Amino acid sequence: MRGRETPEQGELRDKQDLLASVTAELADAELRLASLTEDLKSFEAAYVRRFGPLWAEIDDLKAQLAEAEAALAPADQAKQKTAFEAREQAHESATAAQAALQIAIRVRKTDDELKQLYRELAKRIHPDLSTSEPDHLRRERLMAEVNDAYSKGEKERLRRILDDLDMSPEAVEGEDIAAELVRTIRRIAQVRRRLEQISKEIADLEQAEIFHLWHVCNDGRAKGKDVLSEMEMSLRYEIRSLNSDVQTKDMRASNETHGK
Amino acid sequence: MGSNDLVPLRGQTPATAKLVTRGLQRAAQLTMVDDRLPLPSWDSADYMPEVFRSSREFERLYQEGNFREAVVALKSRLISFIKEEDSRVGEGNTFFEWPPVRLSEPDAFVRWILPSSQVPTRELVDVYDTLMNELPPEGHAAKRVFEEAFLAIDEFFRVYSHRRASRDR
Repeated sequence: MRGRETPEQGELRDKQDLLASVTAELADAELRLASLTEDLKSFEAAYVRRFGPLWAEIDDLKAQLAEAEAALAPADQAKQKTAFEAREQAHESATAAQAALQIAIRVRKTDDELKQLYRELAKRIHPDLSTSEPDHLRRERLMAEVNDAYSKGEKERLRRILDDLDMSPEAVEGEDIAAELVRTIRRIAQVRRRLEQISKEIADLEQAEIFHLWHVCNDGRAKGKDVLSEMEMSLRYEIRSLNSDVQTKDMRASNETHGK
Repeated sequence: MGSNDLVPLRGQTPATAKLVTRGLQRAAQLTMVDDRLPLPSWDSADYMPEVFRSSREFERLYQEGNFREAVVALKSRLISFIKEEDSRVGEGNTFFEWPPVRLSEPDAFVRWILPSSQVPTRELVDVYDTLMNELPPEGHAAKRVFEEAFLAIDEFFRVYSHRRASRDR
């Protein structure tokens, strides 16, 4: 027969309900942070790969023009300096474009099951739910693995981690109420601290320029506008104009040479 | 939040951060649509060949924000002008009182005009290249193509006519 609930049992139950609620909130917040981080990384890699070479070409043409100007006026310090700086910028852009080609573009596929697995695991293994240092370290390692699997869309790997958890000794419950109550209260406090930290990390991401570029593109798409394609055409047009300027300079230089 | 508050993403290389900054600036330009140039009117511009003056279609399209269509309409006018001029080469009855050079051959045009004149020929050749050799672009790129073409054509004919008038006096 089940006896009447003692006050400490009632308190523990309340705290455990609260912990379950903030842990669910934490899992959602971690998912939002992981998704946003991954979306921005993918967008940045795709952007730099697509536009890095175009900016590099523009900078190279600008450097050619500045160098041609400088060659016509060897005593003009300002023109020499401009040409030097333009060539430095061209080198920097070319290096960035070259590095961008090495970045593998990850097309992340997320679906509801992937998100559900992530939430479940975050609720179970989040490091801020630990009450001892060794347990914290174990959870941190597991959480890093979960984040990695989520970022790569590896559902099987997430399922395997979840299965292993179910079979682990930590899955066995049952300890004295007083200790469990203290553990629960501390877990709640840790989870709340992590929630605050996640809010700050998301706010930091939303303040990044790449977030705003991503946002402008998403906003444009919602209005039927392909901002990145328009940007590409705009840069290609600029390249054509600069190419034409370079050719005209060459032609003028050639005319001047023949005229002498 | 103003754009001055924006920061690079943590862990980003400085070179990548610069590429992103430039992309963001360009995207901001592309999404501005209400900064149309006040274009000169060709209605009363006596220096402008009739084929341009007779149609306001491209200006109307531009004012309505249909930049791609405006580029297509301007291109059509330029083609008409070039065909008309080229058909008269050798007759001595062209807008330019032309030596035997075809407008549809811009390299020859440049070789003829460049050594003897400061007329902004390059701009017209650029316009010709851009309008003739590229597929009409979209959005802001089309707006820019149209504005540069319109202003270059205007400037070219204005300067050229002025010089011709000075010579005749």
